[in-house]
Amino acid sequence: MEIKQLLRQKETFPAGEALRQQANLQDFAEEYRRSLQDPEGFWGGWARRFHWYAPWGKVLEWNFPEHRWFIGGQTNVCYNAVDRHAQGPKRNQVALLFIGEDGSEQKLTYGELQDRVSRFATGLRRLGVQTGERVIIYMPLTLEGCIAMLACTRLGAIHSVVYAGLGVSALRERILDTRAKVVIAGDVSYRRGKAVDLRSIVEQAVEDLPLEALIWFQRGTRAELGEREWDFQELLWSHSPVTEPVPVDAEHPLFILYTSGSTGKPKGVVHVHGGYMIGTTYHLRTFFDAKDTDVFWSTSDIGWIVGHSYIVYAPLLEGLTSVLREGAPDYPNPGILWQLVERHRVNVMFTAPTAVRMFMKFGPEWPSKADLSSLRLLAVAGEPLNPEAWQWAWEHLADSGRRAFVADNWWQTELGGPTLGTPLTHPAKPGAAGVALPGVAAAIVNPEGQEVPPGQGGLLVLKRPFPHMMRTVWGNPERYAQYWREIPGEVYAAGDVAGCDEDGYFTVLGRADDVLNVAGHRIGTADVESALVSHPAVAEAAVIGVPDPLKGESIKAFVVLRAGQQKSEALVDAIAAHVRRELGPIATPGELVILDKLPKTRSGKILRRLLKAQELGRDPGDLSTLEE
Amino acid sequence: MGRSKRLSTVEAALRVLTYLAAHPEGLEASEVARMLGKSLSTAYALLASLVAEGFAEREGASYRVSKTALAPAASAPKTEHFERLQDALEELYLRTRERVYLALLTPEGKLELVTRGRQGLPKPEGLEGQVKEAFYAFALGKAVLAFLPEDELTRQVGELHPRTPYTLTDPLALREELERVRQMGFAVELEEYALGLSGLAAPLFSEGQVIGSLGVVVPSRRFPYAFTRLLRAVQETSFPGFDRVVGSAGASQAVHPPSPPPTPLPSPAKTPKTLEPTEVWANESLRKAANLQDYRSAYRRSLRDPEGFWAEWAERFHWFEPWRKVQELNLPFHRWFVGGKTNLAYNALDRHAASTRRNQLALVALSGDGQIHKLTYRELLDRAARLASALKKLGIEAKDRVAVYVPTGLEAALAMLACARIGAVHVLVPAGLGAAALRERLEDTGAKLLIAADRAYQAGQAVSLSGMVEEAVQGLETEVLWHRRGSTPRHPEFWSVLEAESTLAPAEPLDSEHLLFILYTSGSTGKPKGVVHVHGGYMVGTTYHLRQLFDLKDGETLWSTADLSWIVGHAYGLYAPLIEGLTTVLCEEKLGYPDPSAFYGTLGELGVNVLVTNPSWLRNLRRYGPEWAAQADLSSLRLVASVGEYLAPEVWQWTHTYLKTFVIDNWWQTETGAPTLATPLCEPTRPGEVGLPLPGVEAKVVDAEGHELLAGQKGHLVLPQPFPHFMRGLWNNPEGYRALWERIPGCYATGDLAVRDQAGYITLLGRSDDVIKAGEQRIGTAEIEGVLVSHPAVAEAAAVGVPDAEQGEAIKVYVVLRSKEASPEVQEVLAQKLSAHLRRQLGPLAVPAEVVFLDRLPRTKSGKILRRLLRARELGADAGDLSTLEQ
Repeated sequence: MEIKQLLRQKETFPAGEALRQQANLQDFAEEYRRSLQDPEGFWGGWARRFHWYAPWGKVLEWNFPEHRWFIGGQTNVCYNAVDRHAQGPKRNQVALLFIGEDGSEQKLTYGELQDRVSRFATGLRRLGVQTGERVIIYMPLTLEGCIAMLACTRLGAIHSVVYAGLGVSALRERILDTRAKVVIAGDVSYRRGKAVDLRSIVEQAVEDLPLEALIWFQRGTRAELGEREWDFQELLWSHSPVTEPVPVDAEHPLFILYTSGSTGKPKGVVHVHGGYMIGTTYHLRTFFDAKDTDVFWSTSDIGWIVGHSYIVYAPLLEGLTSVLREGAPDYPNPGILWQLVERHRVNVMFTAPTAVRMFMKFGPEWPSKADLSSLRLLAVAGEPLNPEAWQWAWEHLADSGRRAFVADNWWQTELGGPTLGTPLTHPAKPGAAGVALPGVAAAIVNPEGQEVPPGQGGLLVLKRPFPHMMRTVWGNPERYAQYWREIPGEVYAAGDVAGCDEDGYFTVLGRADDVLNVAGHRIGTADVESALVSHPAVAEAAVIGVPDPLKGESIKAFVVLRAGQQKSEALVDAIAAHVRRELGPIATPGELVILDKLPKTRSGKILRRLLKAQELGRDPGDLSTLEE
Repeated sequence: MGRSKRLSTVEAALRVLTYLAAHPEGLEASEVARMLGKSLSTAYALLASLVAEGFAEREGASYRVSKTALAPAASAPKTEHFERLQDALEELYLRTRERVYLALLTPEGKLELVTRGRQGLPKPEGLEGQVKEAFYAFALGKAVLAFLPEDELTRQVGELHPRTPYTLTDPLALREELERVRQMGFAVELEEYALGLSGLAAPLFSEGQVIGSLGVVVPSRRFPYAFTRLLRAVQETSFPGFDRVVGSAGASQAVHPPSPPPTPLPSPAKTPKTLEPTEVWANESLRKAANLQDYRSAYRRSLRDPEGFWAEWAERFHWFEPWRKVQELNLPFHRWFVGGKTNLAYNALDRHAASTRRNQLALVALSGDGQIHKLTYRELLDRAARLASALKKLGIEAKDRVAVYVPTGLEAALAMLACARIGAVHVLVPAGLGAAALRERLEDTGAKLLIAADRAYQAGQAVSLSGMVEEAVQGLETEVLWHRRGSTPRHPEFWSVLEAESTLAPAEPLDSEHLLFILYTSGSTGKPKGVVHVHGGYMVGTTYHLRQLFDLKDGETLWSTADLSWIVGHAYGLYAPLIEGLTTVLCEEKLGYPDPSAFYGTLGELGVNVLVTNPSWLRNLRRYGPEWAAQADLSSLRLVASVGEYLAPEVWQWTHTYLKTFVIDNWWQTETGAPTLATPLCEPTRPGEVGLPLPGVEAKVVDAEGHELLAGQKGHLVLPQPFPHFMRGLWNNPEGYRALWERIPGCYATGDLAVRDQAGYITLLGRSDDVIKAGEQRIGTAEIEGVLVSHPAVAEAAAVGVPDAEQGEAIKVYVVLRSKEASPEVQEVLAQKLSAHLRRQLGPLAVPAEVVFLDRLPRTKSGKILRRLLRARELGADAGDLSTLEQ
């Protein structure tokens, strides 16, 4: 659908009366107005929910392009997420519920979580991990993964979780960029009933690196541990739960999470203790509408920002019960998610459009077989949710708004929490992500930074920071400044093409740069291309995104072989396997074509635009610079 | 004998006067009787004589202190009217013709004594010239102490030493006594500084300050008769403004003893050393945070106004319909919350699943096969309601009995909750109990359904139960619902029935007195009896003690190590913690398997705050040694409660020291439903003594005829009044129930022997059938055992009586040593040492005729030593029903 068509979408779907009346945030307009008019009072008020070892002096210091929040305040996210509840009546409430593909369940109460996290933190400290030090976590979606994150946070160490599905070079690159000395890794992850080997990826990635400790969470075969290698469980259980949270500055980095950009090297987005805690919880309550006794299930992974914010931090900070499930969402059967919603009486679910499209493919009989009466809100984010998928979810998962609401929302690793979205009190417009949420001043501009009238497409920008917005790019402040300088007018360039209608609803269409969005994961074309050319048989490579009914986009790669290499099926497979190894399965091209040469401009740049146009049967546009 | 009898009567009369003084609104005779712990006729007799003496007035049915009899001390007139205090002394002497004293408080805080008397009148040693210490030990001193400012009082009291057996050495008791003095305006000391002398004194004031006291000392044998006369004289001479008309002048017939003299059980040669009270206070932080801050006022209120007391607690819960009347007594029968409708399971699950506790863990069950079940309130409700629905489909209706023969764990808990939900009556039978015993219970209860496990896990081994179950139900109409753990399929099957069920059965509104369960008591007293408890009162009473005695706070974890099929398991493994919204831990495996680290590990990993266990396990822990405890994470553990049998002071101390927690010994029975005697955190604990009667409980130590005994005298422990969580009857056996109330007239006979100390603390001496009669002496097995385990070599001990030609019975002891590798030579030496140890501690009659060393003692499943079995083995007799014996 073209942008104008999308923006012309007039049909709206309000949530049922009863749902709306129970919404935590009733007067959205007033809240929004106040958030922009008096951001300091607004966020300062929310921040009082939490424990501060020392109070802040000033809420915001905005010194373009740097912003700092809760200046002088001292806190610790782990204390607020774990200890605060473990010391009160929520001590025996389930904090984390882990579900395995095999149906196994493990629960940790707040009290137990405190015990485990404190033990593991003691262990980490014994290994020399100190405040401010980086720790790489390459763990499957498990309780232990969450414990590892929280233990780092407890010490004021900075965790950098690498999705346990990324390949050797991606992992190695992140270890090098953060200069981490400690890596916590799983040996296997489980998917579709099979163990997926992580150990060999980790072993290759850390080869020759001067690590001080490598901690293995071993569920597969227990290997002989080498020098400076430790077993996760042994490290945890051999230490006492005596490590208290370290009070850190509100602006002390909480984590680094890497995301792809168009320029090749992934960027390490830095979030901090204070603002991140305040912003993510605000949206948990007001946008995801979580109640005190809710069971909250985000189907993401701790390797992504959604997992950081809405599996681990915000639900724990707010004392909810958070569900995490390892494995494929359609295994052992296509209805498993709905059976689990019924079994655990999930109240709020957060998933990705690609999952919704998958449910759609399996058909409505699966959700209809389960009792979804507990489900009140289904939040969807990660990539544009097409109107058909929205409609399907509305009808089959939300009982057309009578029982639940489908809340589309848009945000990025850089933004920490929902930024655009459709609040429960607003009617939904399928295809549109929604309105700017409290604290957010969003606009659509042209490349010169001038706002475009409603109904026209342009670049999505944010005109001011909010507490849970990234502070910098790790080790690369210039790259951070670039976000704010790319478009004139001191605005943050989201890098997305979008439009806004007269009601203030934004529709996000896709990336403006050479970044692909595959099933919600941002993948830089440059990453894939460089992985391709690192294969000895490949001379040149170009990667484009092609529409995919399930994943939104899939990767198509074009390669030119080195002289003397013969085209063959086997070689294509070998190249694909090589990319998988380097980058992990999500970045592996869905299709790989061998060409004799790539179309290039006269200046030698690969014309991906032409490849894409050819692929989609579109007009390739101006080809004047094409080298013949 | 006579002396103590009459002195006790004076004491009782004084107590009655205090009660009356504390209740200016008036008290009825029945209330006085209850406070006094005496029969109504005693109360009437005491009140009548007080009225006759002019101390009390009667108005309708209620009694008050005579308006003129006792002037409140605060308004005491100044002594300046008296020209010389010496005149007062002389006046008192002339009026009494007894040994009289004037005590004056010197600026240094000493008492300067002046006496007047004649030859032949007693002159107690020490009561001359200046007395500077032990003011509390005589009436003159007390009369002064009571009116001293607080700081001065604290300085004066210091450490308390006994002067006579009657001297108060408990600071709290002394405070109470002084309060009484303040209320009455005079002090009485039954044994004045010395044996055989009693005293009476009143304070002297000047400028509103106490300056001394005036009193009289007489031989105790004459004291009861002279009391009224002496009191008048003392009051009138110390109070010049005292001008009211005196009653019958020669009122020398004081209150008459209303009952024949009680006959205590003969005491052993010497009070056992191990029972000497050493007081231990819980540390400040525990005490300050204790849920029950003022035991004494709660206790008083619970007896004065049981209806108001229990109704207030019952308000915590959900009642589908309110009760009309809190209590309906028709002893021995009693009903509570009459007309109310509730459901214990509703209060345990639904209430919390709909609250902020929805996702809180309700139950953590450690199964013997290694599985760990953690269920939130919502989940537990879901499973229990499904099972309840399934039970209905199996034809179970309200009031039907459902027997449960499933080891401690999730399934047993669900079975109990599901039955309670629909008003069915559960009957737990310890898994592993023999086929004949199981069958007997099925027949006795007429159980419609038996929920049974096909196997249990003990010490890591699967133990088959299916054979016993099949044998037990053969020919009966009882259906079996199988909890299948083994591989042989048997139908219908517990989990498949539950999981196939999609309907959630609602909790039925049930009458408060609707039967909740029948539980057969352990076999240490003969043939098992089916004790019956009901929804309303049981819910109210068990939770009261959970909060007020075990001191659980919201958000805490309770681990009761008792088997679910025992009363402690029913009350504190399952019901009370759930009703109060806490987290409970159930564990199937033996606690020490494979080694004590399993136990300590569970404590730490689950963050257990309060542990309810039995002395036998604490003894085991002591035997394993402190090194295990030292490695454990005990940071969450706040309290250990010990119930089931005698907790020796050494074991108390060991637990206190090495588990770094406070220890609450408590005594109760299947029949009493919840703790009955114990020491609340706000009172000092006397290790070795179980403690005080808990709120709602009147406890008396009486002789075989029901006459109350004095402190220090051994007798039968009886409870004259039921309480909400007291059993309602014995299943199919109303005569049996009545008999429990008839063995000792007017009271429920607990069947235990006990002794009460000066401070009111009770020590259990063992079952009355566990008493050994050696010669003239009776000796409780618990006493001997307590002394034996105080020996460093001994881990556990049991004593039994065996026939002896000379003595009637001789003592035989069975000993488990701490170290198992003792050679026969070592054993021989040890046997001699232990005999010597017993002789030293208990006197020559406690010396055992034989010492036997065993690897372990036979116990009931609930951990009680089966002395009956030891004795039967000894005598070659039939051991009786051994169905509850742990194998």
